[in-house]
Amino acid sequence: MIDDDLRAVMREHDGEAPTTAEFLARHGPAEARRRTTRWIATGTAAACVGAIAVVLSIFGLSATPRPETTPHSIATSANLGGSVIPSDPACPRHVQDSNTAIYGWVPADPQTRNPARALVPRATPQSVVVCSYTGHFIVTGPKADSLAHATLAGMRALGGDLRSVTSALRRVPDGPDDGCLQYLSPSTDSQYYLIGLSFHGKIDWVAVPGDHCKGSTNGVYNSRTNLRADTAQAYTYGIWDADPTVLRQCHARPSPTAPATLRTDPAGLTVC
Amino acid sequence: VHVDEVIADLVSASGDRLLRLAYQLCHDRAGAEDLVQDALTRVYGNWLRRRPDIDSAEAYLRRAVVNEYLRRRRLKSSTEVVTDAVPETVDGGFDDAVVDRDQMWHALGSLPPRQRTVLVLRFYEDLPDAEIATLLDAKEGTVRSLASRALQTLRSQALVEEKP
Repeated sequence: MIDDDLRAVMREHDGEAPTTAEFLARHGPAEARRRTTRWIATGTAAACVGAIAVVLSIFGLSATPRPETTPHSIATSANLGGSVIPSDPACPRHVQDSNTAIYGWVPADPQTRNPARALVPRATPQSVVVCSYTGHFIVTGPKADSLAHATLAGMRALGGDLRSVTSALRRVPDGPDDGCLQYLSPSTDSQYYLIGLSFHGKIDWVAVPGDHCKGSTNGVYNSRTNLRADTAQAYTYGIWDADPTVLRQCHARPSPTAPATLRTDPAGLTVC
Repeated sequence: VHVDEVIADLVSASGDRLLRLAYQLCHDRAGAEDLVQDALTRVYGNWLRRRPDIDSAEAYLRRAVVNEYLRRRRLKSSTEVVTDAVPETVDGGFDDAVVDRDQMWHALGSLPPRQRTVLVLRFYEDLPDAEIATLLDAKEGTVRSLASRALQTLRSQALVEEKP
C-alpha cells in the first residue's frame, strides 16, 4: 500500500532532522535568545541610524528627509541597484499608527487604477523604495498594541528584477483574520515599513506594520497578511526575492554585504 | 507560570517532534530550524497578547510551523488550484508495484506545498482529515482532494517496476 510506503519513507528520513540539542546550540534557550534579540535589534537599529547618518554626511545630505517635492533615496549599503539611486517615492518622516487600526497606514491613496483589486498593479514598477521606521511598541496601558514615536530610520531603493516585487505583492490575499497566528516576531513589533512603488510617475504605497497582528494595505485593498519578514529581508539586502539559501551562504562569510544571484547566467553566480 | 518557562519546557518536551515535522515539510535542516524558531517566537508574542491555554501550546506550535511553511511557499509562487472534487478514478495496480523510496522522498519534496502538508499531517502526524482541515482552515473535502492529487502524483513518479 502506498500509505505504508509513505509512512516508511517519512520515518526513514526522521533521523535527518535536526535535534533539539542542535537547535538549542544554534539558537540558544528561548529566554536568552529573546533578550539577546531585543538588545541586538536595538543595537542594530542604532547602528543603522548611525550608518545612515555617515552615508548622508558623505553625500552631503541632511539626515532629515527632504520634502516630498524633492524626493531622494539612499541605500544604506551596496546593493544590486547601486549605492545611491534617485527614486520617485519619498519616504515620509513619520508613520501614524494606532491600536485601533487593523491594517497599516499609508501616506497617500494609490494613484494607479483599480487599487481595490490587489495591493499593487500588475505592471512592473520603475522604482521601488522601502522606508524603515523604528518606534516604541507599547505593550500595556490604554495605548497598548500601538507604535509610538515611529520615525524614519532609513530608506532602501530596491534593485534586481522589480517585477518580483509586484508579483509577490499581487498574490497577497484579502483573507480573513488569522487570529494573530501568523507572522510574529516580538522583537520587531517596533518596526514599521512602507513600500513605495513608482509606475510612470504614479505612486502607490503599501504599509507593512511590524505588529504581527496587523495586516497590510495600500489604503484601499486590505489584507490580513503581514509582510514584515519579507519586507525586512528586502530592506536588508536591497532585493525583494533573494534566495534564502544564497543569503545563508553569504551570511556565513565575513563582512557580508548584499547577496544576489544573477539569474540570467544559466550556471548561476552568487555575489555577496 | 511565566511564559518563558512554558516555552523552555515546550522546547525540551516537544522540540524534537516539531523539528521532525518541520523537516518533513521543507526537507531542509536549516529551513526546519527556521520554521521552529519562528513558531516559538510567534507563540511567545501571542502569549503576551492573548494568553492561550497552556495545554494547547504544542498543538498551537504545530499549527504555527505549518502556517509559516505555507506562508513562505505562498509568497514564492502559487499556481495550485484546489477544489472539493475528489478524482473518481485512481490508477490501479499500485499494490502490486515496488516503490523506490528515494524516488518517493524526492517526489514528496516536489509536491505543491499544501499537498505535501496534507500528506505529512495525514501519514506522519497521523491526524484525521477533519483535524487537518481545521489546521489548514479548509474543508474536509479539500483535504481529501489535496491528498488524492498528491497520491496520484506520487504513484506516477515513484513507481519503478512491477512486482513479478
